[in-house]
Amino acid sequence: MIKLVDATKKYNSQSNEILALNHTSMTIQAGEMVAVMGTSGCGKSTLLNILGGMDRLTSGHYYFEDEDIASFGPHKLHLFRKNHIGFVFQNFALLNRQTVYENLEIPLLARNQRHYKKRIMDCLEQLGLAERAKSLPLNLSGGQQQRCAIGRALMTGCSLLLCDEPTGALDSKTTKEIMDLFCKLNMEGKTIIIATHDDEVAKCCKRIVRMEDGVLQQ
Amino acid sequence: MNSKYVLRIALRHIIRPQNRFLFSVLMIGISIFCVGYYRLFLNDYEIVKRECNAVLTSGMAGTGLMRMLDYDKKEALQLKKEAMASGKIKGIGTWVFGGKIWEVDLAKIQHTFPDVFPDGGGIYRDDIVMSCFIDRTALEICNLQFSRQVDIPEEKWKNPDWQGIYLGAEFKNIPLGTVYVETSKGGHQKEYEVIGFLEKGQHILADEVKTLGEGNGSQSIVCLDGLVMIVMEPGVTDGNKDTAWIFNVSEGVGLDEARSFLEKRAKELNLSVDFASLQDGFVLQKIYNRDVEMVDRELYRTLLIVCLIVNLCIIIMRIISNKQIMGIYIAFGMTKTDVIRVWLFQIMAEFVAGTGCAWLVLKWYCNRQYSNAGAYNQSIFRWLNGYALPEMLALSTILFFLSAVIPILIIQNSKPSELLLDNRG
Repeated sequence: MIKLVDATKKYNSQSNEILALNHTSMTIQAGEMVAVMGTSGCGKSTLLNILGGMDRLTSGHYYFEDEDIASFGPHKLHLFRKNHIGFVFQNFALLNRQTVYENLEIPLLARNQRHYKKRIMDCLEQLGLAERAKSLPLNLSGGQQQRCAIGRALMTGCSLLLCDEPTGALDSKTTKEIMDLFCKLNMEGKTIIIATHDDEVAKCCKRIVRMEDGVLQQ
Repeated sequence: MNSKYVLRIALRHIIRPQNRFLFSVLMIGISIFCVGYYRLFLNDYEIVKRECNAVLTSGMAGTGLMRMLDYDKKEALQLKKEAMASGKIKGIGTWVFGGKIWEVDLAKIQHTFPDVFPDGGGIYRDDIVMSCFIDRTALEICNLQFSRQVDIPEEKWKNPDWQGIYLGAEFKNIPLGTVYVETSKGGHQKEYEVIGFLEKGQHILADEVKTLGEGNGSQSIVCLDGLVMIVMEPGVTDGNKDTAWIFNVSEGVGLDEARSFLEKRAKELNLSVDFASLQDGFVLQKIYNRDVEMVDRELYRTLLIVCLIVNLCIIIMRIISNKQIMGIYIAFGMTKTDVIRVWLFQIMAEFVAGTGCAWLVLKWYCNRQYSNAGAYNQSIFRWLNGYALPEMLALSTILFFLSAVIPILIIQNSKPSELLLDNRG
């Protein structure tokens, strides 16, 4: 499903050049649940941004279902994101002035979908948030907020779920709840890549890859 | 902590109240209102400039004004006779600025104005139509032009129970020859007949210029379009202390010479008079207006620039503080164009609401301020609808486009991952 070949990503800061991905390669099959482990600043988030089409490689190739994403123009990249990718972030990245329901509505509106109320409510039911549909995210607990963020990612109908430190802001009990949810989604067929530095989180995944100074060590 | 970051945090607190939309609407509304409000004053100068020019270019050099305070003394009439006999003065006319119509029947003229209704007692509001009394000599000296008029035989002019009236161009729907009847308490009836209509866009001096020419410009000259001019016999005054004499000098005689003659004789006859020259009055008025106008125009320009900067800053700050939201939108399926559209719509809504509020407040202010300003009121509202509204809309549109450029540039030049990074920062 995913194949990175000799992928390099450089950032040019004022004084020096940062090599976030350093000629690294990796393959992930459909339906896998992979943990990408590494210390802060090792390039995990950059990897997820590249995989999610939010950023571009400086050199190398990124194949998604045999298509070279690295060669895509802005429009095709947007369509790739829209059709295949769902994001979950450490700090949830919810719109705090919009309700839980409205947050889940965003991907559907972006896709011009109609008659989606039942779909959102079913998803919220599945996530145990049906009763909080009209609440603002700030009035929810950390676990509830992350479940809301996962719900929003699921609304995209994605085949690949990219999670950047999804449990970083949660306690251990809630972390377990969220990881159970990811395992369930993986069982249902979603490919999930989780960037984390938490061993307990990594243990829940089928495969662990470690990352150091922009290089993946499988 | 770096002061740049301190400022950044402070700005976040300032620009992130719960309801940012209302905050923006308020700021835009205040800015547009201030500019519109100030334009109101500048409009006065433009009116005065236009009207001064209108009067000055109609050949009034060599014309003088004299305010006759002792109008009721028989020496006043004697002075007039002597002045004419001296050969220095060609003609002396009189006019009295009535201010408003008080004859009930004549006040029905107000029917011709829209939105004027009788009050509860059936009496028509008499603060709309301005009127003035003017004698035939003054009419001649002022060189007024008429669009329509009927010839009146001399015998009719001498009839004390009849008076001719000229109407301003705005009364064109009233038929020529219409007669209004005033009945006194004793049952005596007096007729007022419409004998002509004044050409549009003519002006006459009033109040301050008449009494030395240093007053507020906007009220010194009155446009005759909305005015009722009651013609009286030469030499007649109706007991109003604002009676003024207007005179023109004979050929070869200077205005100063004629003025000193009148002044000297008035002193000898123990009459109390004030003099003003039209030219002097207008020069004073022009200098006064020019000086104040210069300051006001500078303030207006400053206000425009401040308005522009304030609004641009607000928009920029909001866009910067909301980059994270744009990143989320892009991550979940929107294109950059979609995001730009969302923001443009939001900004447009703020400008429409802000301009609408500013317009309503300005209209309310003018209504409150000028509701008793007679004919001036009509002119203000014509100005508001015909000039202020288009100008405020134009300003708002320019501001909107300038404000729109910044979010477009920010969104277009940012990578989606950078926008999202802001979210996690």
